[in-house]
Amino acid sequence: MKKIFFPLIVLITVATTGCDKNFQAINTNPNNPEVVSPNLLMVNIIRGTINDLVNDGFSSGNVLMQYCTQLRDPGIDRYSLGSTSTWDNGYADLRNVQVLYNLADQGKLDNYKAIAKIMRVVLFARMTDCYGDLPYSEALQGKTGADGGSPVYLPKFDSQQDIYAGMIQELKDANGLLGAGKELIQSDILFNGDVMKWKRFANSLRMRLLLRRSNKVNPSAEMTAMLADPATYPLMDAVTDNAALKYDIAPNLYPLSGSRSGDVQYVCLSKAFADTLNVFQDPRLPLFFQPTSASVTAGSPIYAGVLNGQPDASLSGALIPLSSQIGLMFYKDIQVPVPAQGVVMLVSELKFILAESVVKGYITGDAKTYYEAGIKASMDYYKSVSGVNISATPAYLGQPGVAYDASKAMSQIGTQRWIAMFYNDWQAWHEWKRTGLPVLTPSKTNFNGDKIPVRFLYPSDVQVTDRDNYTNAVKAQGPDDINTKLWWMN
Amino acid sequence: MRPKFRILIRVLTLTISLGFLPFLSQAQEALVKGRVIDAGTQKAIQGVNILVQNTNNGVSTDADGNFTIQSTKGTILVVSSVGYKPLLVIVKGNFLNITLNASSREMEDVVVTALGIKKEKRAVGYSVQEVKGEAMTQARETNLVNALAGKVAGVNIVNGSNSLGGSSRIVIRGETSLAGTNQPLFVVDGIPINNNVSTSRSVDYGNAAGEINPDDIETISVLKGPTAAALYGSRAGNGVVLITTKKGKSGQGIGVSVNSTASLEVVDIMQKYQNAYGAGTGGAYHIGDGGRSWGPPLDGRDMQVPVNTEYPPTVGETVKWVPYPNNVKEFYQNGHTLTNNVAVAGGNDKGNFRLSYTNLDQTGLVPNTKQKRDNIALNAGYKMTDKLTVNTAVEYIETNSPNRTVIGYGNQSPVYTWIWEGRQVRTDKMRDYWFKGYEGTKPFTYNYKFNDNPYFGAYENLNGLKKNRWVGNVSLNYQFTPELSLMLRTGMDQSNERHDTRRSVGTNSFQQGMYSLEQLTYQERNSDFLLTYAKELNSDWNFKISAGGNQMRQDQGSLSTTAGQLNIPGLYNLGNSAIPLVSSQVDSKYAINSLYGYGQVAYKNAIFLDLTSRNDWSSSLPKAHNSFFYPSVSLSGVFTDFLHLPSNSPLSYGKVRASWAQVGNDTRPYSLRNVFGYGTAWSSYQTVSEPSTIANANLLPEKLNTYELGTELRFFKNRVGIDFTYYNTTSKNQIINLAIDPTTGYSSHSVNAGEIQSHGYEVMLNISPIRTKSFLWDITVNWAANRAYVKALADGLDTYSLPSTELSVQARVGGRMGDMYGSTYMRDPSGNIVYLNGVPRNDPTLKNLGNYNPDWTAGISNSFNYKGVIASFLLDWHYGGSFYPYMYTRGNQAGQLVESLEGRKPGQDGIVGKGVKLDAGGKYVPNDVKVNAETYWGGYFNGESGTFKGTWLKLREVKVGYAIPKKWLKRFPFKDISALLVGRNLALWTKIPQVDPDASAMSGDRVVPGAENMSLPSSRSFGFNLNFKF
Repeated sequence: MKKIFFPLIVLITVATTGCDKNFQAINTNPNNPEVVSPNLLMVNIIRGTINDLVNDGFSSGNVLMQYCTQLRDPGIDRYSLGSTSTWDNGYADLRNVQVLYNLADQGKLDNYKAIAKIMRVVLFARMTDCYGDLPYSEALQGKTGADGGSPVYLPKFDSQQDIYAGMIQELKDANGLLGAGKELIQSDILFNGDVMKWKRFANSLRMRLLLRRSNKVNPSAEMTAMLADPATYPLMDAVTDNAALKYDIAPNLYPLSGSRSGDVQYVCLSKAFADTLNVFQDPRLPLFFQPTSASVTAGSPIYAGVLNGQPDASLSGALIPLSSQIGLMFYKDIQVPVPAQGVVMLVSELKFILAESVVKGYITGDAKTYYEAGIKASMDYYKSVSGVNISATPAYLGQPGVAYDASKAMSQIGTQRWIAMFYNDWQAWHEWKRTGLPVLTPSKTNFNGDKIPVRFLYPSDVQVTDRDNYTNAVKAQGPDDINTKLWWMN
Repeated sequence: MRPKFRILIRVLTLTISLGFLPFLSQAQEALVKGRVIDAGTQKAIQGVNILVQNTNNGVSTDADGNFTIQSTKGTILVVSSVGYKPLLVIVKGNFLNITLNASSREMEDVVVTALGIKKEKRAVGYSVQEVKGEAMTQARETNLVNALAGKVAGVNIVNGSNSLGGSSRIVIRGETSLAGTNQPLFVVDGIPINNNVSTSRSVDYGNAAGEINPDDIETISVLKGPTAAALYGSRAGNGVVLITTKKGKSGQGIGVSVNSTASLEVVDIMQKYQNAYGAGTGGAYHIGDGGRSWGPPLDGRDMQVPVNTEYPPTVGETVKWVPYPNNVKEFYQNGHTLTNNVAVAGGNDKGNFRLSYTNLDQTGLVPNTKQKRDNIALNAGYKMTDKLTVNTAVEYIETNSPNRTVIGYGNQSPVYTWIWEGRQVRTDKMRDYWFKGYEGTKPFTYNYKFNDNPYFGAYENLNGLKKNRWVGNVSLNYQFTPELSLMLRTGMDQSNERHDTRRSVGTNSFQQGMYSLEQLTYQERNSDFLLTYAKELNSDWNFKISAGGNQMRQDQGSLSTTAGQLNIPGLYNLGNSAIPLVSSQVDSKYAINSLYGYGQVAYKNAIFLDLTSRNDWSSSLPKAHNSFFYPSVSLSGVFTDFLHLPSNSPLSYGKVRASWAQVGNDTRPYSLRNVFGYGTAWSSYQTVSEPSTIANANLLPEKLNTYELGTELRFFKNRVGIDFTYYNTTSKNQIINLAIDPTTGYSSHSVNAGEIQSHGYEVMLNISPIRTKSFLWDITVNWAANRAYVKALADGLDTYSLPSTELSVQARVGGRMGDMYGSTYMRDPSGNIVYLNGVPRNDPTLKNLGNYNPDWTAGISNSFNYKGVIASFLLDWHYGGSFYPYMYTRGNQAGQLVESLEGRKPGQDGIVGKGVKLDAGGKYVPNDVKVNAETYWGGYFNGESGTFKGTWLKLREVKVGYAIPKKWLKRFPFKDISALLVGRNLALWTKIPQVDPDASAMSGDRVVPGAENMSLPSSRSFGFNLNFKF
């Protein structure tokens, strides 16, 4: 027996200690890849970014800009803007964008590199327009620094002025990088690999940024140069050029489809928007909202809104049947597919940018033509999405308030831009901050001294995780307050 | 058949054949006789146990000290008796004259310690506490872990959800790990078993150790500190729960025992509802208004409410607007649990076996929740030759639970749905839960725009569990010489678990229905050997050394496939998906190799020095750091053995002990390298994303250092006993995900950092106030206090967030583990609450609102035995700490609970909150703004107002029983008959409003102590237990 057992012990000892070599194999993750090709990042980047736009648009953007009002838990209407998730979500989206950029850079894949730059600008622009100064040049270097240097754990905040200069340059570069003869763009759920559409989007976005900082930097030369060379700088024009995400079947439904009907019913049409659209008999109104249920029951459907900022005592379920609910194009019921798209930038916005730029003398051209083209582009877009045959009829375009009047050009452009920018992130808010248009009466009951806020607070965590840079940013920009003006504001 | 199954079946076949072999073959051995006498008096000793070493073959001496045992030459007999030093004797001739030396002490308890070594309690140099199996089969809990509540000092049990089959968390001596689960290692007959908590889609499928059948348990030893656990390796850093299963006893023939328990759980709704106002907001109600009871007064007015004959409800049914005070209670039902165990055990001098079958059949408080569990356990041992013994223990567990309830805060949970149903809701109207004409597609409920009908949820949206599990081991013992022996053992815990999640078409959040199938596999194999050399040098000195090794291989897998929409309503099959299936797969492998040594030197069986050392090699750590060594030492002495105390001395026994130990710890598999995570595909486009945590390829093992001092004293002939322990543990190099600024693109970085220092006291007190022939009264008190402090985190980091629900559980440097942070009221310099527009303002800075750990815990048990009638009760007392009942906050914001009546009682038209406001000049003036109750209570709650002192006292267990005296049974085939009435959780005393603090919130698979989150109602249980043997 001993003869058997002692070798056995030796064997066990060797077996338990000797198979160290296998450990590396045992601890190699069999489930997930360490290396991927750039196209695999595309869906997450585009979907993640645009979902944020849609979700924030419904819960905050639409209410702040008085398209809608809250019948319950009126935090936005009261202007108690807490620390929003926009910051964290934005940088998380940017993490993947940065990985796409790095992979494209290593692989010399210019088209993907350009897309990464464009998506960087989409995300950084919407954040700086909400917060002002933020980490840009040193951001996204938690793993490796720029050009393979050491990681940056405490990025400095860049001024909005510098961020804008950087973003505009990135869009310029992206336009140069994109080329039809280069690698195929795969998994592109936004433009289906169409290089020309990406170019049009990049240049149109550049126009948006140029105009947005126009209170501080005259955009005239850059805009003029771009318009003079449409072969190099193509712009969005056709209805198929719209940068809007067409959603899929579940689980890639329009994000609002994830909400319960009870939650959606408490965000109804605002009186300000209802009044404007009712006066114009705007054909987009029946797409954007439903007639009130009380009026339907009574047999004479009307579209009605509630004044933003009802006092607590007036907020009750009794308002639901008297106010228009959001249109069936955007929401039918939870998990039910709808045709609505995730809007990043529409042709109509570009046309209004050009119209305003003509009015302000940045470029030459016919403001009226651009203005009417903006309205038409908006109608065409909603026609194409909803399938309802609406259009900018001569009657619509000719009616008082809509008919172009050079003496009221800015106000008219502001109003039509506001309508066209319904449910587009916070874009209408940014335009209002820049131009003061449309003229809005602050929410009736609010906790901000009857001022519509102009920015968000930085997330409170930043005061812990990047304290010194935060302190410097507040010193440079002004108090971390919802009323502190952004650099590009007048 | 899969290869692993084949191997398992082979092992089982071998096991079973080995187990039954002895009863088929004939004994080859001769009878050995002998006599045992006292060395001092030279008189015969009766009742001496003679046991063939490493077997269960044993006899005892008769009145003349004589015995006869089946044995062969060279065999070692273990001779032991109360009051004598045990002796090993080698069988040489046919008659043995054995002389025993009296020990200067009373009978000692034997406890099971690390590596399954049975030790007299006096020889143990650290705190270990034992619970007998019967304590758990009488007052039965369906989760084994819950049965330990209040019974062991320093052990804290928290229920995850109160749900049928739900999990429980056990923390021994407080928490020492930031990122770990702080759960102990469960070991059955020497083999570690799985205690993973299984959750999926907010359904708590239980912790795996909870399934072990208490009927098959002889004892549970709780090894509290790392000292006790030093030999079990890194996974035992939080203590070890050592389970020893029952074995057949030799020499007693074949015995059958039957143990049956029937119990009734009576639902105990803790919530006190208001019944003055119905659903709605702003004092008005409109069909489709959801949830909140801020509507019109329930004064009998006419109101249109939804009805199940009209879809969608627009006109509704006109009803009288009146309250239904018991509408929530009516929904729940009483639970029933029936447990039956039959065990057959027997043995002879060559072998033993025990075969046990248990059936559990349980229905829960939520309608249509149930589970059945079958446990089959076989224990067998056989002495193959004089020197070779084989033992095996196998348990098969099959759990079948067609439906369990969803827990927590979400609209699939019945508790959530009820907190958002108004007080005017009629429960009976919801039982018929389809809209007429829409059967199978549209369920009716009052709050249909937000939630589901709770009956519809219970009967249509099922969360099923099916699980098969094998836990078993085979061991060989070879006795080379009386001194030298070798044990070889291999054991396995293997399970297949399947979760079927069904969501009917028409479910609020799954309008098109959903079906998800999740399959989990788990396999852990442990193979070990232990070579032991024990020698008595002379009558004073004994020593024992062991060396062993263990190879652990763990293999886990999960495969989940979801049909996100269904084509045909009511058909739950992946083939019936209306959209492409979404699948995810995670496999993981993990291995640890270990070598260890253990040595004990004993002097006069009174002073003991133990040394252990262990080296682990873990696959989860980088190659350069994957080997880690840790030692332990303990010293103890029974000082009363040297004092020669007079017989009338009040002190009858005294022992002091001290120990020091270190335990290393590794990390989860695959933590070293960054990989991409899969995202949800878009049509045919697959997608991945970069994870937010930066992995670290240079992680080091965690280190835990602990020392422990203790004493055990007994007085008045052992009528009073006290055991006192102080311990101090420092854990360093913790592997945590250190939060970094999100603008870096990442949220955290995996690092070694942190130091947690934990210390505590444990007192166990036993008193026998009355000990007469006909009446016995015993009191046992377990008391423990623990404080764990965060000494350091990483450079530049002073806060680390732990899994939490509403309050944020944060480890802050200088703070304690378990500190909870939340928002507080903003206050003026004099401390008054500051109001804005009549609503209290919150200070956004998170403040410490208390600690979820109790200041101390105590279990107080009293047992009485009067002429065979036994009675006992157990009180479980948690003193101090803080508790956040989310039900209270949410239920009052919703206007449902009784507190929310303030401000809308008759004669009240709102509330002017007590405090100050800022006037136009920026000065604080008394608040005079009156707001309605809905606005006030909507803004009133925050961390500060929602947190309460966590003290509670619970009457955990009451038992009354009677065992029929054996003399009465002589004419019957029975050996024992006893019957017992048992009540559990009968009474609760606490100031925590609206909930039972026994139930906690869950965050993923973590139980979050100190917070409640829409817990199910608690229940009292009344049981009848019948036990007979024949």
